[in-house]
Amino acid sequence: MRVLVRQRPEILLIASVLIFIIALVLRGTMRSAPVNVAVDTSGPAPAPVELSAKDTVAALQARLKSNPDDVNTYAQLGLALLQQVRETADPNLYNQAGQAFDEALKRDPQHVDALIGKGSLALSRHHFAEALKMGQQAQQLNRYRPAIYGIIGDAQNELGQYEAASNTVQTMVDMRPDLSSYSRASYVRELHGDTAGAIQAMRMAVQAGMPGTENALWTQYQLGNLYFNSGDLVQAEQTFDEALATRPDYIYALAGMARIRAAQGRTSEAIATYKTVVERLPLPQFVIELGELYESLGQTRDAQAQYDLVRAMEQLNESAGMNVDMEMALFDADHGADPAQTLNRARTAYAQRPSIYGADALAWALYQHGDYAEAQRYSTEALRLGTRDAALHFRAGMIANALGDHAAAKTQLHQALAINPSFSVRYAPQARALLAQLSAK
Amino acid sequence: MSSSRRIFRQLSLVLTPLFLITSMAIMFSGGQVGASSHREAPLISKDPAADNTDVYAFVSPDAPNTVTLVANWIPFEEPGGGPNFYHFDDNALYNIKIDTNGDAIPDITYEWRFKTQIKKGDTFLYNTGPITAPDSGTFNYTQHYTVTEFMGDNTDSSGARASNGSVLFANELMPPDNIGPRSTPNYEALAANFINIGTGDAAGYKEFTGQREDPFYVDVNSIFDLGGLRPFNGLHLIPLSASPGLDSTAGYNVHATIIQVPISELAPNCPANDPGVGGSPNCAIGVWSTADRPRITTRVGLSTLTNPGGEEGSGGYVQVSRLGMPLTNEVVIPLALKDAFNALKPELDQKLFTGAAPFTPEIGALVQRSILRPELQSLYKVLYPSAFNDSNLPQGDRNDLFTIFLTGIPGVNQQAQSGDPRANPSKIASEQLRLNVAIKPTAGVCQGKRLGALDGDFAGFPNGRRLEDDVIDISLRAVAGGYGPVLSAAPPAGLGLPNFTPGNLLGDGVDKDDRPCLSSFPYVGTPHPGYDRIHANIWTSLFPLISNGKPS
Repeated sequence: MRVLVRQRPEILLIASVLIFIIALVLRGTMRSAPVNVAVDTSGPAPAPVELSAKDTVAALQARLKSNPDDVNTYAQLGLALLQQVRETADPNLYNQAGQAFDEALKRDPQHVDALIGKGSLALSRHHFAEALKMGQQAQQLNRYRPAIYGIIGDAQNELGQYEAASNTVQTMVDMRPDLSSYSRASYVRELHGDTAGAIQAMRMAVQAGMPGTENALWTQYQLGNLYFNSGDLVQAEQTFDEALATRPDYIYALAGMARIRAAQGRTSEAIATYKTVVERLPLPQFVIELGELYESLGQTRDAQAQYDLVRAMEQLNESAGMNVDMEMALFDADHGADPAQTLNRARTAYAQRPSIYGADALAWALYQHGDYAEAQRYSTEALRLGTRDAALHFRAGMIANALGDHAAAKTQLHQALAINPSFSVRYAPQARALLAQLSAK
Repeated sequence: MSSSRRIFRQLSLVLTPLFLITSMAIMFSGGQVGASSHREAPLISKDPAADNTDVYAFVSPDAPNTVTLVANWIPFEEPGGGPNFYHFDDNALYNIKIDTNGDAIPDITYEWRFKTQIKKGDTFLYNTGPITAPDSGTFNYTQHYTVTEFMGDNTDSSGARASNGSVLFANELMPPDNIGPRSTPNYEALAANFINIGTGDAAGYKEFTGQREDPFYVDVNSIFDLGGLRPFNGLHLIPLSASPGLDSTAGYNVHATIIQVPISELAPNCPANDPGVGGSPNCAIGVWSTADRPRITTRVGLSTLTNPGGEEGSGGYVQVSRLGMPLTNEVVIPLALKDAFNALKPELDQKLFTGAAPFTPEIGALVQRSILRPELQSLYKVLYPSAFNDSNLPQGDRNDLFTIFLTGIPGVNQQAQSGDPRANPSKIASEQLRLNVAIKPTAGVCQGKRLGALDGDFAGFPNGRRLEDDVIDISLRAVAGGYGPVLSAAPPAGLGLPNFTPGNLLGDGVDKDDRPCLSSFPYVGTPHPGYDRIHANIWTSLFPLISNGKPS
């Protein structure tokens, strides 16, 4: 890319004009196509949209106008902006939040709320080493704040320090069992392959929340995903439905429904729902899922349009200070980018983020690059916790197959499909086909 | 390279990002872009389900051989909170605890536990038609609850729930929220059907749990605008014209757990004809509410405390929230310690104050400073410089505030073992709402003097707390050393407390609640119907930042 910018920038211009045109066309089709939401929203009128964070931001900004040196208010403003990102997914607010925390810390370098906020911001931007540092600094100042352990635990998980993360989250939940700590305990259980325990803890997080609030909806979405990822589409659908009953406009739950419809083979409903989702909240994850759905149906042009969007989004995310190396390495490995460049990026990502998912992305980039032996090393590392994640097992199976270890390939592919027969519209059929082929041998 | 080609190249460098960004804008004019793949669990979440807003304890004016205990939960309920409205956490324990002797250890605990049931499997609707009676089939999204009485605490030091409780009210149905005239017609008549009259072990008890209007009243909006008190706007550092106060909690509801208990159960050693003021310390009880949630382990198998698939809470409970005296968490406890205080049992209050283990001397010094040299007092001089100076504010350590918050007033509401350990090491200090049950009601329901003891009405705050008590004005005056003529009189007629002017005139300008009380149990007023009310939601959102909303 850098070479291209230096030597032939006009190619980039032409490409960007093309994307511009695609965007115009897509926008047109989205506008004209009746959005046929696949879920029943004929129930009660939607609750007034939760603008809690927005209102709070305005009130705090007003307070700062009359009292521009109020350290607490700067810290609270930053935290409210971070909550607003949760509700709107606007990454530009990250920069504003960062400025608010810096204003607070400029006036009081030991302000615990500002350090918590800065740590939380670093997590959101995937700067996990920095987040860990912030969390530990805050912990030195105040060991009674559960949020601090949340920052440290999240960072440790993403840095692959799982034993430490488990202990940190245990400290947090011992200190204050609530939605925040239960949902983290659930994730630790999930990582360690305890799906039933993860579901139990996430249910407790849901019950601790107040229906219809962003935080409660988020836990419902996670609970639905836990069911989906364990292949329980019925419970998953019921969980997403329950979230949508309180907030029909909750996009994550809508995305969950789209995933279920795709898994059920109700593809036109799935596409319609995905379109609504990406129009309102175009998170790369959802755009990729829609692209893969198109691809699985042979609509390669539609798929490619989605993938182009993902790459364009990458720029916006980077300008908001986000590190998306790991996510993009996996995406590029999946979608035919230059294998050598992808591998470089995956190695960079893994160096910064040696989690099981960092190892998995690196394994997959190595596989696409043809380095099967090294790929297997990282794939084994990705499975070291016993996480019941079908995609991890699928990739392990593909790598084993490439190495000619058909028995291991069969085991892994079988495991992937046993965990969740519909783990991916793209790869689940591939897994099934290869498994049949291997079994026939 | 030709110059035109160079220009095209340079233009390309500028235009490419422009086109890309414009493309994004076209695509996503209705939304924004974001990416997050790591698991961003909420970090600082509001926790209304475990947030106790206020505790009230008073001798029932219409049943003076009983005490009514009220704990309110779920702050700033927007009445139009549909479609699922509000509920308690099924996994939590909601408690009102009583200390009869002042040793800071509960002697009686009333515990509420809830269970959500959805009648129809095919809908998550709150109601499927008008709810006209408790057994209406249209009442779809329900919570049942059980109230259990424990002699002592309901959890032990490891958090394990005690097994020796006696059930007072079993599997009672909580009334629906006040939705509006179609869903919940004749709401108060409907709600009255949910008042529980005890029998057997619970003979003499009454109980009600459900949505109520928030009886607390305060002008938070003005107070948080640089300590403004609207009636005194002209004297403020940044003067504005004076005006009446605005009730920030007006129009909001809460969920209340309310129990009426015979005095003979709460204060068994209080003599029958005790005179009240100046009588037996055995007539003084301490009251506070807590919410506990079950502890879980991060990894099943790591600890025997977890019993997967078993009863939630088999690993023990953790106190997540605590409230006794009003304003303790907002005004008295330093910001840095709010989380710690919420998890703290009263028996550890003294160690928090002295900085003994598990706390540190630094923490002790911080707590002592915030109680004995309250920040609010120093703000009076700064914010109202023409009205306050060192000559009309109390000087030195505020042992009067220590007494009100941590020991109770001797001869009024101090229990037998309560007292200032700095003066008498055998005495115990702990934060509780203290009530002398022998002081008879002085007025009908909600008819007492709003300034309570400051106005010579010892049936009111800080002797317990009635619904009508103006705890904001009382506290503003107490901190300013303006206790009024009754309490400033020399003992035994008064308490010899200071009575500075203008501190004894302070107030936020909100002198009563926006809704009337009920004249009989459960007293707390009818909730605002969702149909009528739309708030801007602003206080709901600010709540975690400012208040007994514990920033967690």
